[in-house]
Amino acid sequence: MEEVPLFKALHAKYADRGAVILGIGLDQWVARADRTVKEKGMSWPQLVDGKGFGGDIAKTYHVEGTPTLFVLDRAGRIVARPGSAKQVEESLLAALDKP
Amino acid sequence: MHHRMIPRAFFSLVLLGFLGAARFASGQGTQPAANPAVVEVRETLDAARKEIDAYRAGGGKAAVPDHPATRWHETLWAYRERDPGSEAAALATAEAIQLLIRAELSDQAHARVEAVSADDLAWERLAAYLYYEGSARKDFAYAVAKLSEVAAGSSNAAIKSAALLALGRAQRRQGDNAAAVKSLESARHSAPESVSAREADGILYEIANLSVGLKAPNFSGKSRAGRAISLESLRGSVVVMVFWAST
Repeated sequence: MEEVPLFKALHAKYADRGAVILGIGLDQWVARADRTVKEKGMSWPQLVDGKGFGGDIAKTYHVEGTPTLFVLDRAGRIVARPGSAKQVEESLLAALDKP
Repeated sequence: MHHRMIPRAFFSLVLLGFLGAARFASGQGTQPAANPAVVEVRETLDAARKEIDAYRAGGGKAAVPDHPATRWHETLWAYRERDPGSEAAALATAEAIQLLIRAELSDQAHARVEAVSADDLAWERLAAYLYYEGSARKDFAYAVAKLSEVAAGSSNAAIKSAALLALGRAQRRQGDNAAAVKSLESARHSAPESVSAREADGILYEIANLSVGLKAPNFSGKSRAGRAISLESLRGSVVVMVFWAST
């Protein structure tokens, strides 16, 4: 998760405007995910079921690798599937600016 | 909408093949090692990949005529001519072309592809290689044209299905979801229960459920901090979903 600083920056910059980062940890060991969250200071909500890529959410979203990213607008629609953390800000901003 | 999950292993194998891992060549693949001609082709391929890897590691350039892939592809192509229609010939044909594709020698690769008829068993592998070539070049025009031709012209269900699957993936990457859905549904119908059909199912599911513009599938759970969370409960917020794993 070398992208953590990027997500931290987005969180700091846009949380006030209604942006929520939601982590879905795919570690097979929940304790390992907890440790990473703590060590890296990931201060946003985390769902971790300990089932890795076989967990319900990962299967529903066809996740085959990490990071896999989805940006949803205020109505819950998928507005972007950025290929990397660097590409998140653009679609996040567009969604925040949408009425 | 119901669906079956696609086995990740298949995608990984195709990808590994593309990346040049020696998995197939070293006899760990799914094919039995009993056929001596196939073993010989795999060994040749193994030697080719070793030399090409060394060439690359030494700073050798792609897309040049004296690339070692040129010579190795000739060697593999000779297997094709030795025993036409055999499993070894099909393997040698697809891998010869793949060597040219990876060396970015597109014109030569395409010239060889043109020599492979729609019923040639090489297409079971070659279809995916053409998709990956389009992906690497960010230009799917050749792949779409050729795969359409093979899908329409082949009388072999497995080939038809593999070609339609690769075609559907290429069309999706071109942004033409309607055409992709048509191809992928045909792939499913051509060879039900096949690996291609299952893979097509998975992509159809993605198009129907995970495309930009669609409502994201809801889920709920308890966060590690003990808070109940669902996508429904986050309406009104812009949500960045981050699937991650510790490294």
